[in-house]
Amino acid sequence: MIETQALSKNYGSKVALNRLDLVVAPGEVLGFLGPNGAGKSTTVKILTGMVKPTSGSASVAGFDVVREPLEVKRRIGYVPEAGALFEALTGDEYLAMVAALKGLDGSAAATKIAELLELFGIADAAHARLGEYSKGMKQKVLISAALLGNPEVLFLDEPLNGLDTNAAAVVKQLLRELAAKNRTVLFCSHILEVVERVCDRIVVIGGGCQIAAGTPEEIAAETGAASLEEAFIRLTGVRETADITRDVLAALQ
Amino acid sequence: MSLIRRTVEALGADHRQWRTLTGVMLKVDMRSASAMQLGDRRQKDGVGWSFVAVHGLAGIVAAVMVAAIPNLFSGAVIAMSIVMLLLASALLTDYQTVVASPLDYDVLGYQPVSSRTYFLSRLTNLLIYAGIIGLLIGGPSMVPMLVRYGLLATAGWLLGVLLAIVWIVLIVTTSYAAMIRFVPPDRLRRGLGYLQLLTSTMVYGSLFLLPLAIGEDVGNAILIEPGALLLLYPPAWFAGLSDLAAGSFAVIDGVSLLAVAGTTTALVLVARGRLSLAYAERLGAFLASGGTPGRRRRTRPRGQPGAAPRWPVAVPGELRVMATLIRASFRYDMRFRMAALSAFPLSLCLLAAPLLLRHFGDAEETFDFQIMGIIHMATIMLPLGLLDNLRYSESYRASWLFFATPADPARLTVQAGNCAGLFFLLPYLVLVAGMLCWIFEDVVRGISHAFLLGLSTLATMQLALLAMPWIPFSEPPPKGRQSARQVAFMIAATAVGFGVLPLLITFAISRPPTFAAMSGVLIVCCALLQRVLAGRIRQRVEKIEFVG
Repeated sequence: MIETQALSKNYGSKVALNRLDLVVAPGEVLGFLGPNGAGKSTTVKILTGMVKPTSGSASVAGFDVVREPLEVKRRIGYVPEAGALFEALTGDEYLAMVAALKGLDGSAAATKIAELLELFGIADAAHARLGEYSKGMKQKVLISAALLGNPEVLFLDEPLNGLDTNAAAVVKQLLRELAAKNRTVLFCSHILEVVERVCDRIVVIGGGCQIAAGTPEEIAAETGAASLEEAFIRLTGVRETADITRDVLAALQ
Repeated sequence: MSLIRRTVEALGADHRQWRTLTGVMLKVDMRSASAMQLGDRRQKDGVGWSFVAVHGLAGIVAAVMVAAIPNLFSGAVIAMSIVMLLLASALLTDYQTVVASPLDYDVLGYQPVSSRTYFLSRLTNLLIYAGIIGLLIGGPSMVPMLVRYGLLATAGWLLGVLLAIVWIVLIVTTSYAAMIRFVPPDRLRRGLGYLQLLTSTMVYGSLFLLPLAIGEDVGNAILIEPGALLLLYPPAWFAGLSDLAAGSFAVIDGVSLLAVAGTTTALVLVARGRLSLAYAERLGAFLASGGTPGRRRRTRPRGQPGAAPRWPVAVPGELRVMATLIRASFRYDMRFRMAALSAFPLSLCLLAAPLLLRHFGDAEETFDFQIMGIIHMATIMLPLGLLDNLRYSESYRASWLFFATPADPARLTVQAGNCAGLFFLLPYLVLVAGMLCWIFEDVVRGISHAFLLGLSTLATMQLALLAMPWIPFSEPPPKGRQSARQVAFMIAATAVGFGVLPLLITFAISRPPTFAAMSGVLIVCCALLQRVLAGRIRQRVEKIEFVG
């Protein structure tokens, strides 16, 4: 369960998030959308205990993110958008570190790590350093790390970045299966076809505020658009796409 | 339950997480990602032989001092000064991001790790490194100690070295933690820079406090009389332990012991308080704010957004690129900023040394030789050190641009050298010229000397680039090796500054024709080097691959 009430975050005079109310129930996959700089990553950073809100409240898995951040972090899995890794570690060493930090038993963790590496097709590279991994392989390690410990709540910020088609299909299917097992999933992505297919409900934010919420069909109907993509552009775009494209081409001349 | 486990848990940290993180941090440090990515398997040991060799060499120098000085306390003070100076210098240059490590926060910020556990792991990591460095420098002195003064004095020396290591680590970490606690996140980067500057000045300045403390024996450095001023000099406190262990009890030894015990206890208590801080949250706020300097943004006089800054004269595009990168790195890359800032206190202390030497009124010849040597050394060291820093960047991955565009990496490298000459060497030479005019009480001689010194330094920089070419800002910072590089630069600068240049410049400025001839030769050398540099560097940098 994820719940926020009037959640706000300011960086100096800049308002990154403005009184956001959000509820994601167990067993639900919420698509969290918005243009660049809308406040998606700030929201996720607050919910994962990385950044403190300026005002408002938020709880994850029943724990307040400000007062009990460690309890929150014990119950979540997070795939960050710009996933930083200790690149001098090998894939299995990194996952072993995460398992130890999550308090997983050593031998059981080793088995899970081996399984995950095998399932994501990177078992052969388990002993290679992360610095030698491709972007997609690193993303697989980050997803594996997020899944370690069978977390109650998953935060996935552009999890399909760099993944090959097979791995992306696995992740999409996995999200549905996890939701069926009563896990809560917050899914941020700019790939609207995937969001439409995977998510039960969508929240669109812009300028730090919620500007739309509902199922993809509800949002499209509300904005009078034929598709979620068109609805998204109507909600967040300041100019017509065709106009911008024409101007960009003119600038190239 | 083991003692270590009990201690860790008593400090409020999770033992398993502490052990995991300490192991991970050591692995990350010991494995050089840069060497790996460059494909150079020989350099895979991150800390490397150069680290051991340079610090070991310093240790041998300290041991020679102990052996040569016929007095336990005097030898111990000199040797302890070397240990503490180089250790503090290493911590400031290599481990300045011990508290504010952006990567750590990106990787660990969402893991269930308390700030106490994280801080304790970092502290342990630092203590291990400091222990290795401290023992490499202080260890060799145990041999002459044992031979000349016996087992007890040696035990006292070892205890002093170990306590000095803990003392310096605690000073550095508590200072940084305090800074993170009290300075607003948006000003933290600037604050850390100033703290770095202040501590570097104190470290290097303490070296120059020693002559004041030991009075007229500075020239010979043979006998250091325990005096009240020595109480202001921390290395003397720790050195006093060997004297005390050997059975000699002077008042200063007792006071030193109290100073060691008192300050170490105070630092441990302060550090315990700092460990309880939720500094990670502040660090998070700092990173989330983009870590931008708190200074108000200057509105640049630009015609239109994105226009490049205007230069008074037409300059090559690569020079403009390098100037922009250097300026931006200084503003936003904390490692670069601190590495650049830390070079200045040492140079300023070196330049201030002649004032002290003049104060103590050495013989004219000794005075001239020492002063000129020190000034030459300082003049060569600063630009060389800064030039070396242009090689590394936290944003090294952005260097894909140099590889994926028609940019000529060799020209970029050459222009990086020119930038170092233009922005660092030239202003520095103005300062040196002023100083030389004052020392010689002769404006023409001062300026002539500075002119030749500048040309020699420029040629040295060009030769350094030719010997070890690199592409600017294209490699990750080499953790654990910066201080070793600095010591290596110091050794090279000492050799050139004290050995070659005094003879060369003294001969050149003795008569106008020799000055003109020497100037001509140096100008031609610099111009020729500039011409061949691009071609030679091109051959070498073609072998360098993108490391992102």
